[in-house]
Amino acid sequence: MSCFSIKKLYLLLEGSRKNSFFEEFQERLVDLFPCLDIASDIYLISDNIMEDFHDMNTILGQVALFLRRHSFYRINIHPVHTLPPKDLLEGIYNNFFRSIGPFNREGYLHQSASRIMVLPVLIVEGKDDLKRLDGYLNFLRDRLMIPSIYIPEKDTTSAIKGMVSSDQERIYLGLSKGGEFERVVNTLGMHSMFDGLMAWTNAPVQGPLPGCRSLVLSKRDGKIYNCFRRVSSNRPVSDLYSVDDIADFLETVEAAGKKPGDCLTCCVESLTLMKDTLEINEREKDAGGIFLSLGMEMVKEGDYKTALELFGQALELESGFEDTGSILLSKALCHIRQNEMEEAMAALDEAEKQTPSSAMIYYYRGLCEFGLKDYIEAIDRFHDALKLEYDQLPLGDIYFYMGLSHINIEEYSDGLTMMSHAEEFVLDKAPVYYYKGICHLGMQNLEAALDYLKNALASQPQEEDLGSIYFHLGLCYKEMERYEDAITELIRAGKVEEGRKDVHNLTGYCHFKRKEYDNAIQCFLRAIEIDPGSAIDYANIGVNLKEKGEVEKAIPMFKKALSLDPTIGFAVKHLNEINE
Amino acid sequence: MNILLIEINPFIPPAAPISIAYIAAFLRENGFHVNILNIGEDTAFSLHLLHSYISDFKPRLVGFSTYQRNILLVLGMADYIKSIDPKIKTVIGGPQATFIPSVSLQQSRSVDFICRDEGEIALLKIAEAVRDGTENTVIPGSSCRCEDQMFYDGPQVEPWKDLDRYPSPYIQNDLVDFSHLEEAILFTSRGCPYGCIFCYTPNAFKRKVRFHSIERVMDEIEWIHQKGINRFWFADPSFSINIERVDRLMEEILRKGLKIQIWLETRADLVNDELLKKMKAAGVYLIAYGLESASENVLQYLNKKISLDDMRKAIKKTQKYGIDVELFTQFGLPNETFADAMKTLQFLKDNHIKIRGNSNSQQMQLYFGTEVFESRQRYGIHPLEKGTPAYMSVGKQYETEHLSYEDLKKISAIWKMESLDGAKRKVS
Repeated sequence: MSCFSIKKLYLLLEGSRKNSFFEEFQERLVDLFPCLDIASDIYLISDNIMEDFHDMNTILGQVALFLRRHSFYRINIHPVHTLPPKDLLEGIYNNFFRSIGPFNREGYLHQSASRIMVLPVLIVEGKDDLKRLDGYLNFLRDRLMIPSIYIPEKDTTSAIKGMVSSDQERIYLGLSKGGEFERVVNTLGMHSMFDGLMAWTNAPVQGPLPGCRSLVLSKRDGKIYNCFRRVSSNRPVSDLYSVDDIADFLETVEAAGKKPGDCLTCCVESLTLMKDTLEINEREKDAGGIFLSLGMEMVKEGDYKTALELFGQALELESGFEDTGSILLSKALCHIRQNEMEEAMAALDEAEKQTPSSAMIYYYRGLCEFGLKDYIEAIDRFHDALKLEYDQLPLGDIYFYMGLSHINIEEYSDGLTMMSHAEEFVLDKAPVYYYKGICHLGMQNLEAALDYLKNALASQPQEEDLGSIYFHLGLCYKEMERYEDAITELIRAGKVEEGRKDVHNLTGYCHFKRKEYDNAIQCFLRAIEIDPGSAIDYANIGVNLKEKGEVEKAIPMFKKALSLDPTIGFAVKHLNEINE
Repeated sequence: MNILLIEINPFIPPAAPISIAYIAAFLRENGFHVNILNIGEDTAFSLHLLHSYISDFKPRLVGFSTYQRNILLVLGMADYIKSIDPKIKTVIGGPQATFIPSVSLQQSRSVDFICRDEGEIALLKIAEAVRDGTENTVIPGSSCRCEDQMFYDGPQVEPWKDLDRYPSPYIQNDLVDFSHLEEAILFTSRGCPYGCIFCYTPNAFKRKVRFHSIERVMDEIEWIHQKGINRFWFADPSFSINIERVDRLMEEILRKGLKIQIWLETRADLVNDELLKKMKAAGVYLIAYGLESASENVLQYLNKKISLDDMRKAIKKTQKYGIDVELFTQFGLPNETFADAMKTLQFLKDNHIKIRGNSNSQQMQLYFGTEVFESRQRYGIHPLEKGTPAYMSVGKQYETEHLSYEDLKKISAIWKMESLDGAKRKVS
């Protein structure tokens, strides 16, 4: 049994030219109904409704039958076609209306929308079509079949504005290049993506970004596409007429499943293309909200560059938006994360115009100053933020960065106080314990430092933090003159973060203190491998060689050290001793 | 024994199914293996998936949260589940089910039980009967389809007075998926002592109120807060019915230093300055009051017993403490004229209430179990449709002695026009 479901099904019908296929097409299609979402849409896309009417009517009948059997399903049918003569359209849609009549009655009696709605999309091809459009629209409205309009060419756009009479009626502007069918599918697909994003943006429980979960079937050649975008790039995943049975077909489609990232990229691209359409449908404000939500999604993904583009779009679409301040703040945050502090400050200046004296602005300014390494300014800004007692301030973060700022200017006692405050609020305790350990180390409270660093290790720290924790544990033991323990921790540090020069340097020092000169030399050599300009490590090798009695070998090491850094006093001292 | 509880509402995005989560937690505590299926507007869920789910999980009992809007879908899904395995028993519960006439479901073979009393207790009795093979007998707290296919009502079950005996759907349970939750819904009490004629609660809870202890509420708040959720929605019908208790709850939130945001609904005569001040400090950002109508002509029929003056004072005080106010209002009420309905709209404007969210008005719905439904003739309500299935109550298909169907449509359109958000209510 397949475990995928289809939200939007696009059927490319192509007149009577291939009617020999229709029976097979229809059988396969009916087999697919159980894979439809319980609330789904079927688009019947035709280049000639007069030729495709029979197909459309048959499909509508099959859908109605399916719905009668399964009263928990709701399916919207969207016939998409050019304008036939009006009397013909009336005949066709009167026929549809009769098919859905019982469902309208059922909906009325259940005080709910009908479980089958016919929502036509009329393709308007030129000025002649425009002239007669009103009559068609009114006819459909009178029969509760909410019409929408598809315009392939932009030049008719201005005349169309104002023709729709409710926010359920849409105007679709042709959005892509390519053949007529491809353009229609792409355009409808992008709109559907937009609606999905709207629902996602406004949902009380915002789940993961919705994919469009679309499937496109072409009657002519049986090609199956598991994404509307694949139609224009002609990348079908299977062939309806060549698969043995529906189970095979489902397996093939499922195996060709899309990656979540594909949908995110597609959402962004679709929205960008829809600018004119949004304007004509007066949905810029909706789009602003979506851009903001998508931007936030990108922030979660760590893609700050794209997030910034999306926030830019949101701001462009909606001047005077009540969320302008928060968009600017999010923009600032992205710049901060990208280490673009000047740009972040500029965004914050703009945000401040919208919401003066905002605690969040002070908080972000604090982060900027921190990024610019002006720790005293950072502390002041964080204090400004705290003074405003804003409920939504991330207190854990603020205290943490205040603590870090104090640590950076070696005010370990204040750093410790702030980290203790942060500890009350943050869920991930490991970094706080680590920095509390650093503070105690800085104040030479070595036992306390050791305790906190061990707590950090026990609190499931991030993998990338392990090296620093082991290193500082090593440093602590070294300060306590417990060199063997120090070496054990430093070896651990080296294993998780091999390329750290300071680890090898400190390990070498501990070996030296234990008179393990060969081991010490190996460590200093590794440090030099990592940083060939490390004067101190040449000098350290010299000291160890001298202790081993290999004075001749030591001399060039001291000389090399001094050539790199003439201020290394102990290298001068040892060299003098040797010379004497 | 496996039990599946289903929430199906494909008209809106899925929300946390808190009511059935309470029942699920209770059934689990009593040794049943319970799963929840939560199906909303964009849930990827098809017939195939339902079939797979039922075939894999093999529930012996399937329960549905049922209300006016989804009952057709519930009956259809129950029918389909029975077609997969006719031995599976089905039960409907929730506001629509409590007072639904048994006879209305006689023809449909898809429902075996109708839950009539407190969900936890009634469902447990049904589950035990299914497990023990005694399901064709009269079961307390529910109506049961017996061998002759007729429904028989069991004796009433007494709900537990001590609400804390019911396990939390949140704490130490995997019933609520926190990963995408932005706001948690909590009940700190059940029932309401008032008798508003349009509300089903007085009849369902016999106008009695039971409370969770402050300790239990705090445990839930802290548990949820630790999961990273800061927004809380207290869904009690009248949150501050016991002012002293709410005062203690706010004190506790403050004492623990929790930084949370709270939405709650209560009555305008159940707040005072001191309480509002404390609520603000504890994180209450919005209070929804039930105004219903701003016309004395109408209010006198509603048995709500709140004066417009009380309402104005409560709004003013609440706003004074920096707490936003929403007002629940309705139109199409007994004795209401078009001018009365417009007075309500004007009242919101005069009191600086933004017409959005829950402050969008809605037409009164006549539900089973409400005083206005039971005595509709006396209230001048004239149902429009004769052919409605018997499992549907009148809902909003009615006219009143003063308002025609067209008038009601017009009032609805006026509210929509005034709305700042296209008339999207959060609570119905």
